[in-house]
Amino acid sequence: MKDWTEHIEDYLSGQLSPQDLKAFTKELETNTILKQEVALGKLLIEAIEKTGELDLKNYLKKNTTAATISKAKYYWAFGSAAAILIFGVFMYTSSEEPVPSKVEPKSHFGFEELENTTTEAIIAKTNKKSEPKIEQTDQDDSAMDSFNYIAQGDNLDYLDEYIPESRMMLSSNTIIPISIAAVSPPPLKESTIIYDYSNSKSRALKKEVFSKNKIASGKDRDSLSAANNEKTKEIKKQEAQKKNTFQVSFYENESDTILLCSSTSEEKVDLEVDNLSPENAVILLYKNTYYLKSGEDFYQIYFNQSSSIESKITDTELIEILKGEPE
Amino acid sequence: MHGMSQSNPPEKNGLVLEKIKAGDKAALLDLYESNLSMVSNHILKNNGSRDEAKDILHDSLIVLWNNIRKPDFKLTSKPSTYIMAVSKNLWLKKLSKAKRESSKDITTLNVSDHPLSVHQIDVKKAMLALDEIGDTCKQILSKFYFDGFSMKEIASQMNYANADTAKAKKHQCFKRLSEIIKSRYNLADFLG
Repeated sequence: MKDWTEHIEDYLSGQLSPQDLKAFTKELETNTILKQEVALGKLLIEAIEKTGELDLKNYLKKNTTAATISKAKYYWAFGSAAAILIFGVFMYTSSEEPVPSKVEPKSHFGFEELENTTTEAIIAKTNKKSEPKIEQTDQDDSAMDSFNYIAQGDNLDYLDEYIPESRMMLSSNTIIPISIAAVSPPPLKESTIIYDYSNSKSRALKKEVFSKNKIASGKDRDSLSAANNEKTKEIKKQEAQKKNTFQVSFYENESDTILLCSSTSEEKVDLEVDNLSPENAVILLYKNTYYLKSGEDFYQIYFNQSSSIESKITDTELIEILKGEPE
Repeated sequence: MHGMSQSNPPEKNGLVLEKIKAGDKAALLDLYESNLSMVSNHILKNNGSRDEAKDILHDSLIVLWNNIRKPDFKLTSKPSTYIMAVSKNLWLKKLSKAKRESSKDITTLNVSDHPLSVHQIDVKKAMLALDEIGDTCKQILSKFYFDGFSMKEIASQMNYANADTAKAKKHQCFKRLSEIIKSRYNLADFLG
């Protein structure tokens, strides 16, 4: 009797001769074992195809992001994941503390104050200015959509005073979105940073309430109280953010440094107050100081080196965060 | 965008397709570069994001990779036209699926809507077993079943004496995979 199980592969890949196919089909009608073997064969082929597809997709994913990174001198990105985790990628400007880096890009990285500060104007301006230099990649395009900073020229001293209020843009040809391929090195350094709201809306609001209270009297004071209560609430909300700390991990590849921040605050919802998102928030490093830009505001971030703690973020988790699709 | 398949001469497009047909994955990257902007434009205009556009383009390239070696596959248009058509189609399917999901009445949802089905779990088990049969075996099975190379092509790529030797090796590998599954699971239960 013929061992049909030896012909399952040929049957499934349509390579049986017409006579054998007829005989095989007939046998299949009555032979339960053969039926099960055929079902298993189909399953195995599906698994092989699925594995091939996943491997090819991973190859494409890896190489379509990494290919562009090698073209870019610097890159960064920033985002929030589920309003809890924030990450940033940025270009490093100095060889001094706080971030170790092999890059010496100072001549490429500067700031320029923009006279027209609407997002559209900034993007338009950046498009115009950097057009000849842009390496045409899709990453450049998406970076344009996501970040509102510009950096050009070397004469940056005048910005020391203006950073909190200035709107800046990293030049578009140096920005590409975060790459999963680029985060493979282990964290270089980890520490805790504290959100400094000294230049925030909170201070401005406080000032407003105090000055109004000072000049108001009698009826005016009553009528102001409701409005002030609202503002006080807002201040409290903003004050609460001061307690926010971020755990930071540095990753580094050949020429770039990646900063990953994750909130260690218990009141994680606070991070939503400023609508942190990849579209409107970014961490940048300027003259050894980190700034977080969220919406219209810049916040100085300083490092509390003494409270350095161990990172709980693993590479796998980081990749999941960056993918935005935790499994 | 430097549209290779849009602006380059037909012979260049032909060369890229030949490379892909021969199993050169890197040639897919050229097509990715030259078609991303076009596919992105379409998907962004149709409620998609840039990441989704990239994902769809990856899937379209995989479709091309799978089809290009089929005997009845003949690309009469430019690669970019084909990729765009596949991308549009895949995106449409994705949108329809999303629409169907969102229109489901919450009361009709049950746990089986999201977790893996029994069949999917079985496939996963087989995929894990595939990692245990060795690289050569995995490669030969993938070349035949996923890439769609002929035994003759596989023999040449993997340095087997001829197609028959390669086929014998493939059969051996397939059997090994099957044995792993059978040693672990009751076949009747396993196949549900």
